[in-house]
Amino acid sequence: MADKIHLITEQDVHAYIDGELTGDRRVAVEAFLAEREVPLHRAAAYLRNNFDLRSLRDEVYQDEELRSEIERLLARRRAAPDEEAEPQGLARQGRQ
Amino acid sequence: MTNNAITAADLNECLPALQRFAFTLTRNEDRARDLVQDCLERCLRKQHLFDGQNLRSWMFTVCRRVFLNQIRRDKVRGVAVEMDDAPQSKLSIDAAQEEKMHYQDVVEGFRDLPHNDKVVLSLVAIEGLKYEEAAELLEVPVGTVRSRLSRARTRLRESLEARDVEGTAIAARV
Repeated sequence: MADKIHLITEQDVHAYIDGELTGDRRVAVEAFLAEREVPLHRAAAYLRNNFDLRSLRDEVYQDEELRSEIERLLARRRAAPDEEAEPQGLARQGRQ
Repeated sequence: MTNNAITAADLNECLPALQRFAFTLTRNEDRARDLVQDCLERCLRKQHLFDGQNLRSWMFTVCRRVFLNQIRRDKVRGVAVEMDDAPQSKLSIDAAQEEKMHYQDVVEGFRDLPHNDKVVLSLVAIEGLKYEEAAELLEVPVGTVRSRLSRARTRLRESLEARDVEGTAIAARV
């Protein structure tokens, strides 16, 4: 496990952006990014894309097929309150 | 000292304020966006220096420093920084236009993604689900969520970069 920490993949960077990493793994990705211009630049761009997409929520969900699928999936999540199912998604944020 | 690490969520939370701050400094949406980008990179790179107290104010400090560095660099290079010389109305129309185009590019780039990639990206980026949750809802392994996300973002980035090059070519008259 210890030596695997040094193998940083593209997917690790995404996991980092999405706040999925903890502890040593996160530190390893940070160290990796800190030393590499291109991956760092991309990581920052992905962060901004997340932000863009959130602002563009309404436009994105004009895709009827996508919107209905997301709604269906989130409804399934709400219907199965096994864990701490916090209200989230379309219902909570509404559609401005 | 170890749990001062900044998460992407923390940064995202500060982004709107940072963008306004950057706009205040630059008075130009185009430059503000570049400034925010540079600032995010610096925050990610320098986050071991963050004292864990107030992320927003720390980001503002970083932002101001980056901005000053840019001005200094521009001066050294002899790039004109006197934006005041430009007719303000024309400037702001261009900036608004630029912003609109950027968003338009994101929407179009997103639209071109495969449906499954759009779903995963929506669940994670827009709805804020954890990978595990997304995998459960989609009834796929977490590894599939990871690979779709990675592919979706890479495609979106490539499409934005391609559009950027086009845009720059058109804007080369400036």
